[in-house]
Amino acid sequence: MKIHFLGTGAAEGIPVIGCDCAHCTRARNEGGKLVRERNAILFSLPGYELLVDCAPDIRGLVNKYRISNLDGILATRSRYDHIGGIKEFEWWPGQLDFLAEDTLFETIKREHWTEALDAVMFHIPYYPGASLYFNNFSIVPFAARRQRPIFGISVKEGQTRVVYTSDTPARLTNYALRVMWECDLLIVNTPTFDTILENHINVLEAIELKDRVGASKMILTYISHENKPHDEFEEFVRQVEGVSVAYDGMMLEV
Amino acid sequence: MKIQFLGTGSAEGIPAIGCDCAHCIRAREEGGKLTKRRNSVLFSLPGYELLLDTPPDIRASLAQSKILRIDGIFLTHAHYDHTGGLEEFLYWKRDLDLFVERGVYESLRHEEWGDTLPDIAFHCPFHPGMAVRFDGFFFTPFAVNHPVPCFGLAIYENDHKTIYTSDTRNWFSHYAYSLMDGADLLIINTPHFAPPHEDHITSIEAVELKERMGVNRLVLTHCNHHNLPHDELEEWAQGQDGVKIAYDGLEIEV
Repeated sequence: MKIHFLGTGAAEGIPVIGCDCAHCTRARNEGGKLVRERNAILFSLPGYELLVDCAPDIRGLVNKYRISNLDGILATRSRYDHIGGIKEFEWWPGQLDFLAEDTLFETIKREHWTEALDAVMFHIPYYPGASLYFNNFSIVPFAARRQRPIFGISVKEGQTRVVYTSDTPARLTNYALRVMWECDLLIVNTPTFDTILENHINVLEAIELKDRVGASKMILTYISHENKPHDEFEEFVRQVEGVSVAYDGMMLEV
Repeated sequence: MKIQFLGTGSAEGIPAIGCDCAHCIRAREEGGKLTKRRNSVLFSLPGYELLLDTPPDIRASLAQSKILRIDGIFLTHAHYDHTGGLEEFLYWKRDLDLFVERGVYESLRHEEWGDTLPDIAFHCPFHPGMAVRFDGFFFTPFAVNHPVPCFGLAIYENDHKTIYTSDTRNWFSHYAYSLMDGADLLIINTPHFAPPHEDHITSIEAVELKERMGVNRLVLTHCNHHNLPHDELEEWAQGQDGVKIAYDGLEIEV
């Protein structure tokens, strides 16, 4: 499968609206990989282009990366930075599958949906723990250990397993840890570097997680302005085996 | 996988509280396998320890069998003898996954828990017929016939299929029969020895079911003081093909 990181910023993106911190100022002045749009990842699976999350910046991202072929959108949570761009798809020329767990979908319908979207989106509910089988790959969603419904996914194609955590705390369910066990690639949302947050795993904790579950490789994404600027971040991860940091536009084959 | 039978008694356990029947008197005097705590089973799966049911005796059972690691708990139904000890896990030191069907969870939930127990034991709802996928093994819950909603499960691991029925009448869905067909091991709760008994399949009927389903091995558990005392039950089982009577502490491999 091919994985294309369209947006790799945390909730506020980088630069943050009105923020004059050094990180944001550098991002505004220097641009490039220092700039991060909100969260969206495109998984190119056999015969199926799956967009995971739909940031408010999605229109710009889809245009920028010239994405004209999409089959489905999978929502991991209902917050603005993950789903705020869904209305853009009112104008999508065609139909799309919309993969969302039932309670998550209810919230999204209440807070982000329009009638026009009903004509575009075909809702396919997913259930944590239950595999969603496609022709030659499968997706197993799992719940992040939070009160609000938030889900990560394990994508399996052939013998290759990629796990994307979405907004998970460092404290995971044992089920999620078992799903991650010896996966080929772990993609983790780490807004902060070493600040300990109740609702988000940080970079240092993610590195421990990688070792704990024996993942071969790890990519960090969903980076906030409180984290290291991209260049310093890259310098840091160069010293950590099998770990890299995503940037907007990054593409890889797994 | 390894299966440990932690408690193999029926609702009242043996000896039953205040009971002076011959079976209970023998159990009080002789102890050993004649004594049966309430129902719980530990399935040791690859990288995952799954405890089935949390009876009122669970604390003592775990202490007796020196069990310090549990990753997840699967609850079959909301009867005291199967779930009465759930609150013991308020004192559990680590995190747990709690696999319970939604309706059962609602009927179990106590106000006094507050957020404390749900924080320790994270609710992972399962849906009958929908496999819960781990990498390398999975289990499929199925509904059985009992006065309250009750679920058995089929565990598929290493090319072996193990079925545990929990409390059920001798009348299954065709779906359940199709899961049982050709299983490597069938575990059935049989409080009573012989029919007629409306609410529970009996030991004799369980053996018939085993033969009909073409299953090699059958373990009978959840036996009560109206059933034969353990030694007599074992003697009877020796005359059957591939039938074993569980006792507190029995360990088997599948």
